Amino acid sequence: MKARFLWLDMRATLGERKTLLSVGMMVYAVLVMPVLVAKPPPHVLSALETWFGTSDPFMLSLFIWTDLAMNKAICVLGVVLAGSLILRERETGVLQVLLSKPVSPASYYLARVLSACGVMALLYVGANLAVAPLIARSVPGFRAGVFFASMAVHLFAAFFTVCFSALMAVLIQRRSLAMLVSLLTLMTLVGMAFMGFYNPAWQGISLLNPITQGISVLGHVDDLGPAHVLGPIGILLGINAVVLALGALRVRQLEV
Amino acid sequence: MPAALLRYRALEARYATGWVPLVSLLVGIAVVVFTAWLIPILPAQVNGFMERAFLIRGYGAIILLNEYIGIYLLAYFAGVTGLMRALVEPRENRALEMLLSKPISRRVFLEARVGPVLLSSVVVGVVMSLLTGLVVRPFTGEGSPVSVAGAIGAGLFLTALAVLLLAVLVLPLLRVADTFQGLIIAFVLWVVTMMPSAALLYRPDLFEGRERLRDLIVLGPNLIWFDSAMLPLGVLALGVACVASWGALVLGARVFERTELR
Repeated sequence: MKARFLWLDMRATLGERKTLLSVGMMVYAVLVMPVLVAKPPPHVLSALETWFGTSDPFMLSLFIWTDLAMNKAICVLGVVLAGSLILRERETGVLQVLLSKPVSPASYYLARVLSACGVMALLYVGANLAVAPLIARSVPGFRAGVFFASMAVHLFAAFFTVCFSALMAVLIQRRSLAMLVSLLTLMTLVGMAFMGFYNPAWQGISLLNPITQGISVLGHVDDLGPAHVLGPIGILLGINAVVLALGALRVRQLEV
Repeated sequence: MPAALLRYRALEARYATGWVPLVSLLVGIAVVVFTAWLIPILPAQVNGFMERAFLIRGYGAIILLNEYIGIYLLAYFAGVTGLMRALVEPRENRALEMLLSKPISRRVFLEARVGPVLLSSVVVGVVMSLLTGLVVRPFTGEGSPVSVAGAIGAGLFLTALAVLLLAVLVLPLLRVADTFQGLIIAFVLWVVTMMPSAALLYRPDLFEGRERLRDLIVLGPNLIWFDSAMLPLGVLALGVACVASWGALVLGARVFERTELR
């Protein structure tokens, strides 16, 4: 029953115009990438050497794709996909009808957030599958294994943006204000994500930032092992579970 | 203006803006202060990289570059949030017909809701600009490529640009029935104006032989390159943005007259 609800909700979201616009945004990011990585200037390669210990052009492409494209994209997509969960149903009077069915507010909330994560995963994986051959053609020494391992970890940071936006929606209960707070908080986390690389003394504290966990593979490109992938995924799963649980708790107290 | 209409405008202004300007202002002040504290304690290589990449020099310029992005972002997204609340949410909640059933024309409704939103964005941008001038003061003086007046002027310029983009955004938002569709449109519009700066960072060769174009479109660094001209330019830009916003509202009212309310 829940699987069917998830599937139907995902299909409905995929058919919405906002999802089509999101696809357009991702296509734009994919098309711009080969242009941006084609001819890196020496000062950028030298900075990479300082921060990540390598000036490999592949590393630059991974950095640009993660930071410039995907970090910004997941910020907005998280808010777009989950920023109005429950509130929209409540404002339009649909929530009362939905809750007359044998479904609790918390399980309805969880199902909707998981469905938004599913849509995020589809958009995210699609963009990465589309950009990989383009980067491979423009950048010598493209390492598909490292690229997809890094993006697999980052996908769980994308799920964090969905869970966080949903939590803000039910905490603040005003759609526009929740959107603004989610967007500003996520943009701040994205802006601070690489601080541990820029200044190794701040590495410990920067690991509290979920987006930093999502980009952590960039620090292990030359010695990548299963622990570098599974470790941050485990941490992000834990953070996401806590954020989801907080949202579900809040929804239980929400007035219909 | 009749007293009833004045009262109506005051009510709409209070509804359209809500807590958004205050939250944006508080976040904006925190961003300005935090950036001025953070940049000087970053490792020298990071600041050296920013100097080389964006063709600037000194702590003052690096602080300003980051402050400018903050001002532009806060003034714009505070306005975007206000516009969603003022224009898109009523359509989404199917309340637009009821709101327009009062003896109020669509033009008056649009002005009463959008005007305060644009004004609140100006307030956020102006306060952040003045504060930026204050925090950058210790890094100005003889030999510095930046000045307090230039910092305030550049902040006003970016505020004006944010208001102008918001005025342009009113037109698509009048036809959108989903807040988050509107958010994507708003985000893409903002990103387009920031793309030349990303191009300067990763592909400076694209601007070789096109220095005038670079000076014109690389938003952020270009305001530092022309620091001495920024104060009059910022004030002028704010004036132009006000006139252009009025024009966009007139155009928006015409579009709104022909728009289905559902």
